Amino acid sequence: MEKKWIARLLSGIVPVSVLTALPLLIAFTQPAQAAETFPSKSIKFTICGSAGDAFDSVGRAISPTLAKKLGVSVLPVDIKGPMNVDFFNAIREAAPDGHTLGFVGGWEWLYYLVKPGGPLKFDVATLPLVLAMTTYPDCVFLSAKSKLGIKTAQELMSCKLPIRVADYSGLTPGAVALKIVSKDKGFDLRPVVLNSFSEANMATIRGDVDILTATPSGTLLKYVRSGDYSPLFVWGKERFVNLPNTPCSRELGISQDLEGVMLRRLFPVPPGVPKDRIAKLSEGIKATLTDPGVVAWAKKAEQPLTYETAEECTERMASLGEFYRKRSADFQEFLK
Amino acid sequence: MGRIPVSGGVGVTLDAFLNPEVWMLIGAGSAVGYLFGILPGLDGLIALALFAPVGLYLKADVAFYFFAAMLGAATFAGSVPAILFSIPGTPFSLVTTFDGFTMSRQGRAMEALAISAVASALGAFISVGFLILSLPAARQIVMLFGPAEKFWLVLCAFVIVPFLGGADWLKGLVSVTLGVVLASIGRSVVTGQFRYTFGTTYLGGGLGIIPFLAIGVFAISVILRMMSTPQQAIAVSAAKLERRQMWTGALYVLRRPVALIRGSLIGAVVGAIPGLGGVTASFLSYLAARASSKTPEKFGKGNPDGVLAPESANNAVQGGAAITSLLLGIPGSLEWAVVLGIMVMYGIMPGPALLTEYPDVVWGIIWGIAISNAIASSIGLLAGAQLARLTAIKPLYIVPIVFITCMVGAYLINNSVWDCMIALIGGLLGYFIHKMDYGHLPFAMGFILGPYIETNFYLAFQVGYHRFSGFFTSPASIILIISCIAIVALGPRLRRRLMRDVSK
Repeated sequence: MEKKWIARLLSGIVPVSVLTALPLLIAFTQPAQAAETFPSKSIKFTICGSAGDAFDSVGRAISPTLAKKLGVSVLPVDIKGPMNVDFFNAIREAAPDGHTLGFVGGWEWLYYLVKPGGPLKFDVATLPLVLAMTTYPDCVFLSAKSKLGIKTAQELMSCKLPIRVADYSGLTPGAVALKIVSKDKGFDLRPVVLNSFSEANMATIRGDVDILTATPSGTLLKYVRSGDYSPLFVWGKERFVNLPNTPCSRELGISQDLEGVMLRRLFPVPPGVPKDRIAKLSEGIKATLTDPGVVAWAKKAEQPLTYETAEECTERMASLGEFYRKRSADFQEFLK
Repeated sequence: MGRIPVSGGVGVTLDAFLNPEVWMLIGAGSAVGYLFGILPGLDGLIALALFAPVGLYLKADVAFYFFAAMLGAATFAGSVPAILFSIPGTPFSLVTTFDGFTMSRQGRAMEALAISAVASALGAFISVGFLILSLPAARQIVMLFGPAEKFWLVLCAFVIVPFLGGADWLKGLVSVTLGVVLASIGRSVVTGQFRYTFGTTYLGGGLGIIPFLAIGVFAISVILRMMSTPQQAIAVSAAKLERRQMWTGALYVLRRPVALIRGSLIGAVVGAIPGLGGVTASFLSYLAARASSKTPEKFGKGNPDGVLAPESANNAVQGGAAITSLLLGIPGSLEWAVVLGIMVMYGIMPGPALLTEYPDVVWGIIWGIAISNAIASSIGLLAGAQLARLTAIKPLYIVPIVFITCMVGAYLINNSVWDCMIALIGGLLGYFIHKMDYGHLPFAMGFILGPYIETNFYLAFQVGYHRFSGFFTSPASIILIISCIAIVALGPRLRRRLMRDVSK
């Protein structure tokens, strides 16, 4: 009789009690711990990319250093979806406790500022930004195989022939900016839609497109040295240190609104994350980007690495959004 | 572009192979690649992406042996479940299921595994040889194929398929078309329009190759067939699974040097053309083997050539992809995109002159791929006898295990239940395609190559200033157009010959 009672206790009451008490225990103890220290658990680092693409590579490359700086593990996860919708939804719907950090391109963000609606059911501007990783403004490269017969930026802008430009993302930054310039200066710029930056590179080397606009990173500088590409001009108010003979857009009298054409990598968080936690994340990312190892890597890649603070990049994205919205009629064919 | 050494990096490679660390890394990379390749839903690409940060703790001159080994081993390992259970471990192994799985059901699993292992290893070595020999002219080879040439190449594959299909060429045509239509679901890269998505976000990304085609149409449809027709059990007598089969399979590959070299060269050349990839290479190799065979009617019914052709090609792809990746800095495949990304992490800038600037790294990758394929193939051969015994398990037990593996594999891709649903729908479709004899091969070709033909059509049109003349300007385009016309003209005759052989 006694044995039966004990058996019933062990098989029924004890497990039920434990199962009931455990969640309650976790629920009541967790907020107290979280309030004390942040981050209190691993950070889910949501990358808007697919395995192996540029964003995934950079995101995974900085994760170990970021983990060291934040003092907790950083777990990179790729979430992209069609038109990056899954990424934005994942950030929006994550718990606002600061343990979810996003990583997305500035132009993927800008796309929804310029063309709101569509598959995204909310305004991206409602997602707070922690920081933006920036580099040098883009450069306009001419293919050595181009048959346009031009050599300089001035000749490009007075060219009477149709000019093919590589259009390799939802809103290819430099290509869109060049389209706006073409409307102002009166030359005929036509997009050639390519699946990826790699395909755009191949098309430029083959001469299938005349112009490629991209960040003048180490790899592209190699194409310049091998004679495959000629740099025509860089967007910005000053020349790029690694291309001292290439003029900048300000020298060419191009609208100063286009000087911010560069690759921005944004770090958004879900709405409602407390400001002190955003500040802590921001400090962690800044420390990562100024870490000697990361700095050395950027130097080897011949790509200066800088950052914009939360306030700076939020303001910058808003003003870029407003400018491109106003001019969107000029680049409709790029708004896929 | 700097001078390119064509010595094969023998000195550099010998130095590396005297270093025990290199062998440890090749072993570790092969093990990881094997694991990721054998599990459906995971592949070499995911392994590379996940292990990229780990590599940063290694020195650059040896680290790439680790990554190359991962890449090489995953490609071969994907064929193991493809042969044993008709579950392609990676998309590269889709075509291997056609004859590999049939051989398994005939009790020749060990033979099929041996053919796959030896063809994979030798295919990788042949592609490395092709890579070394073609280095001086590699740039010109890569430059031959632009959007117009890619369009005609894929069209050639499309027009030949119905003539090589099952009993009815019209069914083959319907099957190709159905594949193309289903592949068009989602957002068009060219126009940005959403097609057949019914307003859902999930379908905006299209039906994925792994959940829908590899797991659904190929694997789950087999489960359904096994459930609906119990007499078609996989079970074979254990006595048949003798080691003799292993030697039969290995020697079969060695006795077919022309088929082996043809498959490897198709793989290497297709790999060198960015955007086409291993699945296309294995399809084209399979078609070439079938078209040149004296017994084409035996393909799909357990013909060893049907395993040899795709296996030699899909492993040779990495050697071909290395050409564009290492000489131009443009990834020849998604896997190579990750490898180039890892190079950037090391501060090695891909691009022209990479081979002359970093010979240790480049030759490490090239030989790492070849050696790791040999290691993975050896594992495959040694473990083959044990793995082959899995096919002797009663369907009663094997069906639920394979089904759960499929569902887990589908879920792992995006952590989404929708992928499981799509896999189930693909399974039902695959079941009926088989039952009504429409042919899995034409359907899969339409599904995989449909987006290529569409994208390259638009691209060639845009590159040619929105005129069709751009489709007919290069010598390569003209040769491919003539090939298309020849296939259409000679196809019926080829088909009549095939049918006559069948009736005999």
